[in-house]
Parts: sequence; C-alpha cells; structure tokens
Amino acid sequence: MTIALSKDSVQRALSAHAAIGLLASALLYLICLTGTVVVFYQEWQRIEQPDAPEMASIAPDAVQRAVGAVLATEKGKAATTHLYVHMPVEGLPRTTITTDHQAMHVDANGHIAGPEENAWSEFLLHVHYTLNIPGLVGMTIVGIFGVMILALSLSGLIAHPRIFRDAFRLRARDNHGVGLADWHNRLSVWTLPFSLAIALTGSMIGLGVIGANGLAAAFYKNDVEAAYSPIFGEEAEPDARPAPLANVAAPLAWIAQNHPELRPTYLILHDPGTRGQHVQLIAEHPRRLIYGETYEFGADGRYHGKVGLSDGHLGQQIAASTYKLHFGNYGGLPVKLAYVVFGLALTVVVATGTSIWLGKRERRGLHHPRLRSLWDAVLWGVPLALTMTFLARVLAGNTVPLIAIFWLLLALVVLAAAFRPQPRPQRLLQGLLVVSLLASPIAMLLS
Amino acid sequence: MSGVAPPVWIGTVAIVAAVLQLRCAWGLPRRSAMQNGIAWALILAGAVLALVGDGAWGLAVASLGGMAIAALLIAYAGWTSPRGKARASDRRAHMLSEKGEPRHLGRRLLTLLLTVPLGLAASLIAALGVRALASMAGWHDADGNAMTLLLLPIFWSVLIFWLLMRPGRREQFTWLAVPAATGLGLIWIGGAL
Repeated sequence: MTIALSKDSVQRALSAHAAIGLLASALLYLICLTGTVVVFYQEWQRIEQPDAPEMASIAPDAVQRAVGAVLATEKGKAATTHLYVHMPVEGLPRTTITTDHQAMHVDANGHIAGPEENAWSEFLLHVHYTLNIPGLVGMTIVGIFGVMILALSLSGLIAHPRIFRDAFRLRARDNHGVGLADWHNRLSVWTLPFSLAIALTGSMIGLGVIGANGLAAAFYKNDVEAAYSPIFGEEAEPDARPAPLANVAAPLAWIAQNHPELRPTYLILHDPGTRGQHVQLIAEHPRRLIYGETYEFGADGRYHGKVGLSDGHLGQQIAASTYKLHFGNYGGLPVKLAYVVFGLALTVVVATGTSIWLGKRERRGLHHPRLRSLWDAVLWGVPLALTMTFLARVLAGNTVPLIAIFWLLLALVVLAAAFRPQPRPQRLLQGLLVVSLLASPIAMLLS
Repeated sequence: MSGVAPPVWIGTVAIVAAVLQLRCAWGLPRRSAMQNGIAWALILAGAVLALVGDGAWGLAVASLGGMAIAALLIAYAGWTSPRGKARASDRRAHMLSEKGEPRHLGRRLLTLLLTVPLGLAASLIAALGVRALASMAGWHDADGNAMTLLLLPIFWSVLIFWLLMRPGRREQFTWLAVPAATGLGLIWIGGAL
C-alpha cells in the first residue's frame, strides 16, 4: 500500500515525528522499558518473596479470621479507612491483607504469616506509573507520554508513505543506518495495534485526573467524585461510630454460591469497625477485558447490588477494560509473553528513533558527540540502573532505598556522559549491564 | 485461556492467514487489488468472528495472534536478508539547526506552548463539548463521562500532529481556537456554563 501524499506533507510529518520523538524519547524509553518488565509484576513478587504462603483458594471463614487478626495488631493506631484483601489468583496465589498501615501475608487458615516484602516490584510499578513522582502529577506526566506515542504513530505513518508496502522487508544486516531504520519501521508497523492500544489505555489512565477534573468543573460543580461515580459507583457515607467488625466471610460465600464461575480478586472493607463499614467484592469475569465487577455488601454480609462494570452502561465497560488491556493480564502466560515481546519491540522503536536521527545528522557531517553519549547513557544506563536496584533489593533487603539508588545512579551515568562524552560510554555500559544481569540470578541463589 | 469460544480460534486463524496473505500480496512485483483485498477481508472476518465469540477479549487475543505471526515473518526476513549496500536516508527532520543556521529557540518554545499546554486545554474543552452534546442526546452520564476520558487523548494526539503539520502560526492558532470554541459553545448550549 502506498499512500499518495504531497512531498511537503511527508516532510512536515517527518519534522513533526522528529520533534515529538526527540522531546519525549528519554522518558518514553524509560516508560516503555519498565512497562515491559512490569508485565510480570505478579511473578516478580513471587521471586522477591519466595517463602510467602501460597494457596489455590482460601475459605471465607479463614479470611474473616485473618481480617480480625490483622486489625487486632493495629490497636492504638489511627483507624484504617480501607482494608484490602488480595485473594489468591492464578498468577499470584497468595492472600495478602493491606491496611493504611501495613501489608501482611496470611496462610490458608487465616493466620498471619508475616509482612509482605515486594519493594522492588512496587518500585518498578511506580517508576512506570508515576516516574516515582508523588501524587497525581507523575501519573499525569506518564499519561502525556501515552499521547506522545499516539501522535508519533500518526506522524510516523504519514512521514513514511511506503511503510506498509515495505512491511515485510528487514535489511537487518545493512550498515550505515539502513538496518536501524528498517528495524524501527518494521517493528512500529507490526506492533501498531498493540502500541495504539497501550498508548490509548495508558493515556486514558494517566490523564484521567485531568479529564475528571474537567468533567467536574463543567458538569458537577467541581465534585470530582461525582464525575467518577456514574462509572465506578459511589462511595458510601462514612459513620465513624464504633461497631463490631463486618462479616467479610458472607460475601465470599455468596459469590461462591451464586456465581461459581467468577474469581474474587479483591475484597475491600471500607471503614472497618465503624457503623459506616461496608464490603466491596471485586470478582474477575472469565474471558472479559474488564478488571472485574464490583459486588456491594452491607456490614452484615447481605448483598446490596453490583456497580455494573460487567453488564451496565457501555461507558462503564469500556472504562473498566482499560487496565487489563494495558497491563496484559487477561490471558495468562501466553498473553503476558506476547506483551513482553511487543513491549520490547515498542521500546526498540523508541530507542532506534533517536539513534536514526543522530545517524542522519552525522551522515550530513553534523557530529554531536555529547548528544550521542547522552543517548548511550539513557539507552544502557536505564536498564543498568534497574538491574542494580534489583541486585540491591536481593542483597540488602526489602528496606533498601530503591528510588534513590535508581535515580542517583541514572543521574550519575548521564552526568558522566555529559561531562566526558569521549570515548562513547556505550561499550562500558553494555558490559556493566551484562555483568549485572548475570549477577542477579547468582545473587538470588546466594541470598 | 480455557473455555475460549470456537469463533475466537477461527477468527485468530483467519487473522494469521490474512497476515500470510499480505506477505504474499505485498511481495508481488505489481500491486494486486484482489490479493490485497483477500487479506483485508480475512482480517475483517477474523476480527468480527473474534468479537462475536468473546467480545473485546476475543478481539484482543485474536489480534495478538496476527501480530505474533507478523513478528515471526519479520524475524525470518531479518535472519535471511543478505548484507546490502543500500545508502541510508539523510533526510532532514528540521529538528535542530544545521551549521550556521539560527537556533530559533523562541519559535520552538512557542510551538511547544501551542502543542502541549494549549493543545491539551483545547482538546479537553472539545471533549467536554462532545460530552455536553451526548448529554443533550440523552446519553447516560456513565457513557458520556467515559467517552470524555477516551476522547481527551485522541483529540490531543491528533491536534498535536495537525498543529505541527500547519505551516503558519495563524493557521495553528485557528486550529487551536476552532475545537476550543466549538467545545465551549456546546458546553454553553448544554447548560453547563
């Protein structure tokens, strides 16, 4: 297929493509790489803490015991407002209770087994989700980068009129930029449906705050919760007066009896131990992209209704489908592996984009040794710093300051490349990356 | 992946066959509308089958199958391609100035301002305008609000691209003003202002 476009349009599209790509490339590369690695978020948690108790399922009464036991350890602390029970699922067959103060694993009998230790997995997730920037700012910035991928895809298609016609041509062994350009163009064409899906869902999630605030300002008298509630349901009114702990076993028994085909993934107890407490049970529907349906229960365990994410308004179903489609956890290991391969391809597309641009300028006699070294520092420094955080976690334990290690190491590599661009740091960083990658499994075995 | 509806499997096979057919069609010395058409028809049929079988989930799984076979074909092409002597492109992207050219930093900063913060604002207002229109058409808030969240990144990415494609500032400002003014008008007509 050859799209008939004027030479001027193609040139303008190329300029637009380069402008967006170069502005966004370094952080986009970090977001794509961490997104690829975090596909195995559940598996990383099992690697980090291999001795946590695992179970295929847990009895409702055991969950009730566990909730009571965990809350009993928090006497004297500020009351927890949200208590989450992570139910055992195929990818992570563990029961974990998270409160405002702590996260504890429990065994199949509902006894506390010990604290959850998944600092690296959480760190990895947060680099991808927020670039470790606290609050909603980081998430919004990452959402902006999702928009950049969409704009890059559009401009890339217009800037390369033969991109579909050449879609099966890969001159991988050509030097002087031909091979690099072919890798960039081929991978971007064939991962286009994936890239568009990832970028659109990612930007929807990331820019959700801006969209919701806009909706609130225009239609809901600045009430952001009111903008979300038609989709995800309303928060009940709190009532802080004390009350016996809610019955969390009954909702689990109810779902097992009435919907045996569903898999509970999370039980959320709002304002435990108060008169306002109520239970939400999120259950996964097989072969659906929605993250689950939210089933609502009173403190006595009586069923009140569901939010409608599974069969309510189309808008609810679409909004609930963004997360699984983005993270690739909707079809077990085969889909996760596909996401890793395509995620890696997208990362390579981002990485090669800037390299192609630098190569073109060098072929025109414009050499930028500092820029070249800085790009080397990003390309190889990011995976090196990530691997070093993993090593630090394995060797120094769960409390090691992973965010500081990652960003300081990355800053050091980038600064070194800026101040001493020659010789190029590429080989050194590649060597260090290989060593750290090889050292990781050895360190795990030794620790 | 257990319990997958048969149409999803058939749809996946159709999409895989479509990619193979595209490989043949695009490898022909001359373009063949019929050969291309067969491939696109197979993709369409496969997508419909997957959708009918298991909805959006089925379509997502089937499209992964198509991308996987394409990745294998590309890997084969890369593996078997001989070392060539083709000259790499040195097309100018006009992102940085060439030797002796002015840097135009102010111009570049203004482009950034137009495409990022102003582009976002215009896209948000336009998305909210569509939401107001949907509300006037009797849509439920859940559908209207979800559509706004979906449209915001789509509008913005298209606007960034379109603004960067425009040759003059006046045109760029016009293309910013049109969606913003339309959105504001719709919100006002919808009674939210």
